[in-house]
Amino acid sequence: MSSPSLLSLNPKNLTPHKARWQKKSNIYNQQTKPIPDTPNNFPSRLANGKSPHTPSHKKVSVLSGKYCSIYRKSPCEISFNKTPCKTRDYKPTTPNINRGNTPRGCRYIPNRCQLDPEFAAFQLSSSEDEPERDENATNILNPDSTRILSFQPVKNLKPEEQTNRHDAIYSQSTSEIARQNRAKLNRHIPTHSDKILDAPGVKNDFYLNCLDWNQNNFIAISLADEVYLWNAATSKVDRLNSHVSSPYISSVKWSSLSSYLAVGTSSAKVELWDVSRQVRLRVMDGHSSRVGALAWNGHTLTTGSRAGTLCHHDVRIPEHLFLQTHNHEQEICGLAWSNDGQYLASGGNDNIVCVYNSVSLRTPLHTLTEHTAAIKGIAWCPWQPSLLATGGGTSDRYIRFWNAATGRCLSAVQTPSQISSLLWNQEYKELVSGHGFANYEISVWKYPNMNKLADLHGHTNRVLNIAMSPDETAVASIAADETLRIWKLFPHGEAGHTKLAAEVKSLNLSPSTGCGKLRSIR
Amino acid sequence: MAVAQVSRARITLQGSAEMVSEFFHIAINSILFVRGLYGYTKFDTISKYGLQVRVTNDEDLKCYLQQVVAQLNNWLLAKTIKKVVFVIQEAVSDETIERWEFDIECDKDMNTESRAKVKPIEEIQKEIRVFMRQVLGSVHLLPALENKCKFDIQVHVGSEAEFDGEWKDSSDKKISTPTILHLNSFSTLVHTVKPHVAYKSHD
Repeated sequence: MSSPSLLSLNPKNLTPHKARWQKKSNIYNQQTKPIPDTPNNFPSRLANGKSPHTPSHKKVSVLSGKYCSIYRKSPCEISFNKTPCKTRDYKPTTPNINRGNTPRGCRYIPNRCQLDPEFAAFQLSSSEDEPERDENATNILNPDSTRILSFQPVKNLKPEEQTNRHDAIYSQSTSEIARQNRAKLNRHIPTHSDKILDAPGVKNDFYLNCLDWNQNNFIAISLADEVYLWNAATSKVDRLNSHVSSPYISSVKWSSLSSYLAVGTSSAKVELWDVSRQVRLRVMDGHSSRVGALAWNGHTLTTGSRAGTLCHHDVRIPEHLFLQTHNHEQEICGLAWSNDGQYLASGGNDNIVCVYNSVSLRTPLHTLTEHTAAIKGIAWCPWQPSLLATGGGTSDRYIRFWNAATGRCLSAVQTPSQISSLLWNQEYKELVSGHGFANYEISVWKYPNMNKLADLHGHTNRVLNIAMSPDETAVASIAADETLRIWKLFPHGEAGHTKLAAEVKSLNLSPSTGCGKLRSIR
Repeated sequence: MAVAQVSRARITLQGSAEMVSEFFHIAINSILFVRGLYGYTKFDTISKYGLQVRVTNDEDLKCYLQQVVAQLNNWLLAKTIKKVVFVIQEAVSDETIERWEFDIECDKDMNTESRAKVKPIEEIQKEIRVFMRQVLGSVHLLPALENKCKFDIQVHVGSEAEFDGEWKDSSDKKISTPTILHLNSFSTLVHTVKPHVAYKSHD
């Protein structure tokens, strides 16, 4: 029994815990008594979810509206007398035991005949697979609903196809240009020369410039007192019919304009030849000693002599010598105009490089004194207008890069040998250097990191000069071992550099004079 | 014929369907590329919408996408399409980890005979361009796909839609607690495409 104090504390909670006999007697009393006396009991019992044991009385079912919806038939049909629960209320009963042949209610389902089992079974079975039916069955009924379709062959990726990495997005290598660049990076550089030619009588003198290759694919080479022309396309050899009195030719240089060849001699003269007609156009003087370095800038021919004098000739006018400067103390051996004609650089045996601006050739813009040996290798970068590369002699062996505008040394890289010549390659952005003592090699460098890509050994004595072919695929080198070698260092990419290839007849080295076959050019 | 005179700014149902299905072709290719589902060697760069976009050169994938896009075009014409979902699942566990959803609203009044709508093509391309850039940029937000994955293209269509045997009913591949990133929508006035990407975040 619940104590009165607890009841007062929480009467709601305690009401359901009435003793069983109290409840039973209550119900019994209600059934027999008139309704108005006990209206409070029913709502509280129903709220607690307990089924009344004998709800068969008409008035009970009316009160409990909730039950009315479950009962399919009206409870009024059932006679009061027939319900057996009435008598059993006073005995302990076991649920689910039916006594008698009429369907009687158990403790929780008081009257089965009031239920509709078929409907209940349908309700139960339909609610089980409800979520599944929602998607398909109801969709068909409702025209506004959506169907989810998927294309039959779901793509299963092969594992090697899937990257799952961000390299896909960050890699730009898919473009054609990038693919070519990669091919260029990983290209094979042949370490053997493509062609070897005999060049007897070449003057073994570091300070001379005895090799040049022109736009019409002619290689000019000075052997002793004669100039030989080798046609790289047809391998034909020609000789300039010079009846020169000078002991030897000290330098040759093709003009970029046409087939004009400037020839510097040991007798301090500079000759101008029209090779196509085999005619000497003029002989120019101005120097007092041998002319070892020549450079063209349009119609201007700049020459450097053993005395350290620079002469600027305008070859079109009778008074050709328009400027003579003396800034080097010793022999000038390296001389080059920049591609845009804005700068001139000269290197001498006095270990200095002078950079001139074309508008003020009289005094050097910069005098670069970092080298510690004679500077013969001088090359202007074709794609960066004011970038100059210079290479020092035996006691220096540095390749240095300069900004011609500021005169600052940008970088320097040491090589193992004397540097006799430098060449840029625009397509591959590389630098080729010809070396003398001690290794007599030709090196290929990647600009600007200056990683050495290849060392080409072949010459058995110092390399005197190197020259680039007009289509920029091959390099010719002349060395003191009296051989001229052609190296195919820069093959064109698949579609690459068609501009150059179209402009220039391709270098057609005939197969009959293949690799390793020695052939005299005399 | 007078048809040839139609200005480029005028949009018919057919033109719109073509434009939107082409958009899906490019968009799916871009997602495949951006998410690294296929290696970058499997893609070629082409110019589209004033951008450099990647389109696959893998024959199998090309064929698959062509079939999908052709069917999308039919649905766009019939205006029965409601949504296209590009689903990325883990290949082993079948768990959905990413959903690129494109809600499509069709102008039901538009039919093949009705008057063309007017919207400059440049403006539509501009809207698409913004979306493409967002796809490219989404890499920084989306979690890396660590395991082997597969993809599926699901289409939500009205029940009256017609389709061939290659397509079958499927259950919606949902992500339990997705993070949603809304992307730029575009409209041809006939079809409006509202894309977003839902992905399973790790935390």
